[in-house]
Amino acid sequence: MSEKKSQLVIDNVILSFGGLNALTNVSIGIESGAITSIIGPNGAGKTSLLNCISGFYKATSGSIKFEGIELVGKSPYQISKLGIARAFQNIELFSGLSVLDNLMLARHTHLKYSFFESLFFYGKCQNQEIINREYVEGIIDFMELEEYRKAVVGELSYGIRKRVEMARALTLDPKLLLLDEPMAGMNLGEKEDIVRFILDIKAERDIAVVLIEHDLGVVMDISDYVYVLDFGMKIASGIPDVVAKDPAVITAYVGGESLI
Amino acid sequence: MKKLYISLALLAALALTTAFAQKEVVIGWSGAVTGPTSDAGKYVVQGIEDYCQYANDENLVPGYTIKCITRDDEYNNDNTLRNFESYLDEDMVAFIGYATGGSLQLKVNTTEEEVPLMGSSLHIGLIDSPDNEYMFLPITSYSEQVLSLFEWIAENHEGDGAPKVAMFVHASPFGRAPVEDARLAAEILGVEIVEVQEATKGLDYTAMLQRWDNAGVEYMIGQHVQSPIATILNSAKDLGLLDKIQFMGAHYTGGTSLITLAGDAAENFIWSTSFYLPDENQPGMTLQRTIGERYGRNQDAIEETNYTTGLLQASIYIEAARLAALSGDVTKESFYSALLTMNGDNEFEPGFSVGPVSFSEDDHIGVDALRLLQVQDGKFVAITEAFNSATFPQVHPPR
Amino acid sequence: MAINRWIQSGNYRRSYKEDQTIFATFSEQASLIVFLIFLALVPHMPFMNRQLFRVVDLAFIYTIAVMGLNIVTGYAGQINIGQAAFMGVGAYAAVTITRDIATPLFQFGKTLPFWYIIILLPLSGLVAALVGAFVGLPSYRLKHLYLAIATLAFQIIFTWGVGHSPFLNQGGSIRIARLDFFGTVIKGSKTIGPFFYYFALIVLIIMAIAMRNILRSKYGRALIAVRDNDRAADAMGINPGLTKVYAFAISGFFAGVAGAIFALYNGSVIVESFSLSTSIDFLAMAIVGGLGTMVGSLIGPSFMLFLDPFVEKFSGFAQTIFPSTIDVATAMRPTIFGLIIVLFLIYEPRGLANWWRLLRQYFWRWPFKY
Repeated sequence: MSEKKSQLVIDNVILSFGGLNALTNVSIGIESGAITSIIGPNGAGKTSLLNCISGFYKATSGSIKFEGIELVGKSPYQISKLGIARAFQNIELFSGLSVLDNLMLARHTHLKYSFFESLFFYGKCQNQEIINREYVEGIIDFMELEEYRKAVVGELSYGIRKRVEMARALTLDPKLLLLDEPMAGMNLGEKEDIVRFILDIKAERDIAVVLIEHDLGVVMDISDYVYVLDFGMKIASGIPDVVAKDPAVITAYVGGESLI
Repeated sequence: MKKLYISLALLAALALTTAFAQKEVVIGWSGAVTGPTSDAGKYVVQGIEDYCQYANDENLVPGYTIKCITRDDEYNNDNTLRNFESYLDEDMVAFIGYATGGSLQLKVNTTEEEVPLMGSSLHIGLIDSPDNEYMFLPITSYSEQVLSLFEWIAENHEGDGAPKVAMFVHASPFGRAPVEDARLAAEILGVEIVEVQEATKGLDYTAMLQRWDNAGVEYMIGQHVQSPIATILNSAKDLGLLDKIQFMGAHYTGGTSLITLAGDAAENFIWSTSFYLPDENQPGMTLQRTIGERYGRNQDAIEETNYTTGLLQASIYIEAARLAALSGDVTKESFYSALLTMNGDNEFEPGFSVGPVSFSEDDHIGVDALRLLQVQDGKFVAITEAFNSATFPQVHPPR
Repeated sequence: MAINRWIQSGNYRRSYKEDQTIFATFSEQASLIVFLIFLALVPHMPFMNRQLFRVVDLAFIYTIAVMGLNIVTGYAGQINIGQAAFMGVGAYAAVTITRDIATPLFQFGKTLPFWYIIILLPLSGLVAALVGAFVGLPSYRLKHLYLAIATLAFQIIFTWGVGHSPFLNQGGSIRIARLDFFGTVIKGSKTIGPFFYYFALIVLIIMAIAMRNILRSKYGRALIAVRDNDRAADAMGINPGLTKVYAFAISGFFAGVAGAIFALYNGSVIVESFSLSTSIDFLAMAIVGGLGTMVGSLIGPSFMLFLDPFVEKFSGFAQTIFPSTIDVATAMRPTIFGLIIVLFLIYEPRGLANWWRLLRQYFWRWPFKY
């Protein structure tokens, strides 16, 4: 994979917390329209890397460029506006609101009306709300959340909330979707649903997906490219078949045997 | 059906009694019976209620019953305004105020409703224009009281250089009332105001006193209420400053409670007021004792200057009602004009204060004179005759 | 099938536009109209006297301020212990703008023409909004109690600052001229009571509609997002710091408008009206009404203000039982109000608004039980 084609270029990123390096000289390129997985044992720095990309952590040094724009030093909301959406590992929904309102919130930057127009809620403001509501309904349809539309998020089951979390990230209409363990704690049926959604996202919406996942079976099945982190360092990268046979990866994971 | 007849009969009876009843003069009072400053307010209200009852029992205003409505406002302006307007519904002819803030705010309303206001607040701004036509002070203002203390300092100061004064004032319009006039007077009198310390209530004044001591302060003039002054006196005693600094204060700093609270430390404290003290042999004080005992007040109330305040306020209005009744019906209008004729032969001398009460078109201050008193052997003793501040008219001509 | 929108027990909306409406059924709209007609008739009722007018007028004015407080505290989740000070900013803005700018500029005489309020109210609100935004700036860095302390600091600085400005008469009363309503000068409690009843009510309705619209727009959703989860809000492209700041600004605007009406209503402004205890009263009104609900900010102030005269009577009665040396009455009022707040926090944290919700649902489903 050539670096030039990459949508997101992470170059020599170091993230340290008071002398302890969470990430050490990590360089990764993420291609547009592909599914890129980042795997590694617990504590390898996967979520820290996502936090650096989405702006919750500021990389100590190095650069992260999205379509040529430097992300280091930008706030999460600015990065979100550039077209990078994120679904959190621990569900971070607005629990007091309905599914619909959660998704409408993700349309915040797409609702183009001013504060004064909102005071009257008429004309432009109302049209904008309707247009974006239609968009949200599209996502609800896509993520098969119709029956939960008006349900308060806090009262939904874990699996559904995970799905809402993903739907919300998708509602942002991103160019790059960061999914942090979207299948954690799910049963097989639910996992299959999520896998189907991820493949559909890539196929129908042409959105690049960065996936962090522990289920290596799923990762190896659906990823176009895989990076392996261990102790904050990139230890391997390549297409799934290559990575699975990489001795460094095997050592990191199980200390010898083959992965699949 | 039977019930209906009974209630109808009752209604009719009620209507008859009101028709044949004596005409009423309604005086309204709103002040702090509870809440902040209620330790003063609860005695004021007793004084007002008792004098009203006394006036009715003695038939001071022939042909009329005095109806004093008193209601608690917890020292809250909104409540004061609410009470004021509810009294208007009852055809009040005159209002007795309490808090400085509430009274200041009511200035507009008194003008618009044409109802006079006189009360416990002695803020000079109350009778300054605009909207001062219906505003009255029962006794000398805070400004005049404070200025009289400055004059005493200028006269009695020993030693070289200008006397150094620190002022301790309440952090509110009440406390700030005399500060501006005091600064002007200090300049005329050649007294130096080192500092004006504002405070609501504190627990410890040691640091403040030490700072004053370092700055060479010789006098403190308080425009506050008794309890913090007592705390200051106690701290000063502990620091051994009672000989170095002469403590003084305006009307609400002094009184029997100050001696109770401060004990020995109150010794030599100088107080400026227009009231006689309950232990003085004066006709008004005898009356106070008689009224208090007749209406079952305890000794604390009878010996309170705030009780005298209430008696004086009610007595002034009732006297005005009497004057109005002499020349016809007591109405809002006749009451107000009677109040303004309370001068010359009509001067009113109830004996609660060191001078007679007089009002006119230009004079909205009732008792014009005051005295200085000093604590000697645990009692306030007059150290001057009744007098007027000479500097006060210079720095604050009628506005 | 035609849908009867007068009685319906479920959601039968067919377009997204219909789904934006505020009221579920026509009967709800109708009952609101009936209620408004009732409110419009109240001043003509024989039982209305000056005292009642004052309570109701004040309730309307305070409701506007509490609506603002509910936006910043109830919806955006930022505790504000300085709402009375923001109201004070509005009141002082109204007084000084009138005194120093408008009167010389427009050559006002002893009264202010009525059209002037159309300038004065928004302008006073705007001044308070700017101050609100400024006070809200620390919310970029501070959260929860720390921010509450910042607003408390503003309250203290406001009281101190006004008390030390000769420009503002050191907190003593400053006069503002009475209004001239097309030839009738609004002065004296007989006219002030009914006039400000309608005036404050109309402003209140306009502000309530504005608030409702803000809340169902993206700006309202952003407030709730920041309250519920500011990390996630950040990831949704919402700037949490800016959102909190504009929450403070909106809140300040409401308080400022309330303050300007308050100044016109009383005819003068005095700093004691905007003390810390008033701010805490506002918080209590918002909590008892129901934080984070529109209806709550409409019910809370009236409930607390109407309760006050009763508590006054009761504490007077309680004092007759206890010996006079024990000052029960002084303790009674704060105790009762404190108790009400605590009981609401424990048993009905959603406030009176929740009772309203349950009532509304009952009628909505009627005659069915669920």
